[in-house]
Amino acid sequence: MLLFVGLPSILTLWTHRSESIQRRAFIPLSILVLIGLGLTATNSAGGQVGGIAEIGLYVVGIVGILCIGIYLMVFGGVTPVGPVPRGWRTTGGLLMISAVTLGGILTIDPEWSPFTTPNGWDSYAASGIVGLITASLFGAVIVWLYGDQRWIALIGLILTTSLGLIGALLLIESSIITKTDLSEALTTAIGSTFGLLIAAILAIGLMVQIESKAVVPRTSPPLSKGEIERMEQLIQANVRSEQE
Amino acid sequence: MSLRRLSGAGIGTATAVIIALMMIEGEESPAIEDRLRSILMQALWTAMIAWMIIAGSMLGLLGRGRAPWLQVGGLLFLSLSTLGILAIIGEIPTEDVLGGLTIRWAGLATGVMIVLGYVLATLTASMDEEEDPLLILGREQ
Repeated sequence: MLLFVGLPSILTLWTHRSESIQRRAFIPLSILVLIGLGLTATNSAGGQVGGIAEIGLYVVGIVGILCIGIYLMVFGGVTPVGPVPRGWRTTGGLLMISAVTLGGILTIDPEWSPFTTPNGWDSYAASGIVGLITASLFGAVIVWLYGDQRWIALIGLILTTSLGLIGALLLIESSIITKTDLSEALTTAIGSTFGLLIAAILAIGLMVQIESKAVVPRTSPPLSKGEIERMEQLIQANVRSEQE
Repeated sequence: MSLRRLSGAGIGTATAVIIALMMIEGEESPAIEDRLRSILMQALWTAMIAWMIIAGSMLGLLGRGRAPWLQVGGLLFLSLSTLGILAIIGEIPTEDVLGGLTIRWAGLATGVMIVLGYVLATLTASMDEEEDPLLILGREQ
């Protein structure tokens, strides 16, 4: 219930404007949902929902570290908006690498690892690799089309794609993930992309239809002579004070 | 960059990824009919959930006239109609299916986020330091 109602609900709250009541309720409710997921994961270990909740907690941890790392790396450099002090880029980079390493350790599950890999993690790892390969290849094509000699980004993206493909092959060879996991992840990626496109096209079409039939608001009457004179007085007063 | 070039890049990338991953799948690649059916089902599930989330995100606008009511109603109608279609063809997602789908969505989002973070970090790293024009003016004087 928490997983299938709680998560979409907090996602819905997050989409509201920052000063709204719904948005203010987002953080406390998210914490409650996470605590609920944690309790589910520890109480019903072995069950399907318990397994998913356990994966969810690991994912929240990894994605949290990743998000902080990305934030520090992007806003710790030369940006038009730079709320993070300079010099935090290295920390951001380290956090990003830590998140990827943590995910890798959970996937490979070496003997010395202090973490227990939850059931179904292979499905998450396979989807992650599919997402990584697809996004990096798409990014490489975009950067290449954009031009402007952004060679470092382009080479990095091509390397990420290649490493993703080689990693997928190695993980399949060592039976860490199966070809079925990869196949399901690919199907989900294509299906979800189509689904999002259909949802966006129909939702935008619906909104345009409704808005185009909406009653046009009454326009305000033209300015009266007195209002124009008052406006001129104000402008003159401001211009004079600036000149002085 | 024009929308046409962007679409071309997207279609080209999707084709390359599908071919590469189908080569990795090898003999375990499912029959094309099964795969298309599975893609269609997942597209319907995703659209149904997306409409529900968009409708939920518009609830704060309900006090602003008739249009938001119609939009929320329309989106809920689309979502429930999709659920109805899924019920008719016997493909309502079970708890297990939704669980698997949630995990795979999380995985895909993580993969995309890593790439996006890397690209943004690389692009901001290569940006030149912009000097404040007022400071330059002060030095010249």
